[in-house]
Amino acid sequence: MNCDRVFELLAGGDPGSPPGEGSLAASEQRALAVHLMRCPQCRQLEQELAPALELFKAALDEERCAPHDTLPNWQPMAGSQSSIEHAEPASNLPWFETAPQVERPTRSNARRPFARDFNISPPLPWWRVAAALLLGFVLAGIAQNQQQAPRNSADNLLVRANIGTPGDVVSLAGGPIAPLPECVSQAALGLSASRVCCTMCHHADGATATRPATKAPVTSTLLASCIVCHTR
Amino acid sequence: MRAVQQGHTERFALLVERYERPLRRVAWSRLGSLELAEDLVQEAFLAAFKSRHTFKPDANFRTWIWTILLNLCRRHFVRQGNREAQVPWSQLGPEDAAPEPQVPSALPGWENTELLETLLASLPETQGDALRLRFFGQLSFQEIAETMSCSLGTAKNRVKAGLTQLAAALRQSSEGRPASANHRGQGRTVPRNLP
Repeated sequence: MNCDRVFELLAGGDPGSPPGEGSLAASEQRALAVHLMRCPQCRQLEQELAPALELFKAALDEERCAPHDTLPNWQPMAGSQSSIEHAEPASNLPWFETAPQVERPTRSNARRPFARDFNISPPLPWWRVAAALLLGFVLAGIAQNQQQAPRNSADNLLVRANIGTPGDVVSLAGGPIAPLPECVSQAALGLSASRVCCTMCHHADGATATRPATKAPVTSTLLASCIVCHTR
Repeated sequence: MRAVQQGHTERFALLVERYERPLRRVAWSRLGSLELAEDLVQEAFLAAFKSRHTFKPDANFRTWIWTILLNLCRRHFVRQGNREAQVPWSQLGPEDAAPEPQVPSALPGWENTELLETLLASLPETQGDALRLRFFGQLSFQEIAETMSCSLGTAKNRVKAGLTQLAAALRQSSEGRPASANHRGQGRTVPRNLP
């Protein structure tokens, strides 16, 4: 006999038999007594549980002595019945569902008491999490586009600066930019020659026209020359 | 139950006869009213009969009917709680605080039963139910585990914790009153927050 079995015997004995010493078989009673003599922990457990077990035994004796099917009414104490606070919503009650309760998977059921006991709201359903992530991605995309807007403006400036050199303009973003229409190029060429403008360099003398090697000088040149005037 | 599923519905009366008394005992322990307990037991049997086609042959009818009863008890408290919880918490004053639990004036011959029920009601729901199933329903620990949808170890722990708390409450209660009372007395205070 091990300690587990001792607890089973102490806590009501075998099912179907009323709790108490008289309900055990003689051999099992002897084994229980021997184990209790040898095991101090079980002995302590027996002493610890004795008042509760005696109360159960006394209460069951009262019922046996009472007339058949007689039980007094008693009122559960206000505030002492914890089942009101811990009860599940009525929609979760499974007694009308198809499968018997013992057959149901218990993973979701097992999570509920934890959330209940610690006053934690239940986990969000997956579709809410997915929708929130999707919304986050969309907002992040919009924000990124807004950050790229100045870069696109710089590309526009570059296009304007390269009026007359269609087809081979490289944008700051790295990709090719569509050339401006010819009429726009002509209009740019007709601007006042007194202004220092890169358009003049590009078109007055094809040999001296220098292509910017890097993007940074191009930008600084543009800001220093034609862009300031042309975009006003 | 298999015979009932095959159309011998009159055999269901045998099941009712076999399980009615322990079911009613546990329901009474939960609700405190014999009439209410009988209604709930009847409702449990009706529910089992209505959904008899969903019962799996390899399942245990004993644990199934106990599960139905416990769920009905819970639902009763939900309904009762909904009815009573009409006043918002913010509008409650000190005068609305729950009174300290008192052992009701003992009926002659039922002193131990009333004390036990009062103490069971002060336990956490799971521990109280495990003790009721074990001592009033005569269920094995395995059946308690199946009925309460928990593991065998959890079922044993619930019974052990419940008994320990009951014993501690009894000791605490007996220390504060004359030793000759033998669980009797009127207006005795039961510890509200058990250790």
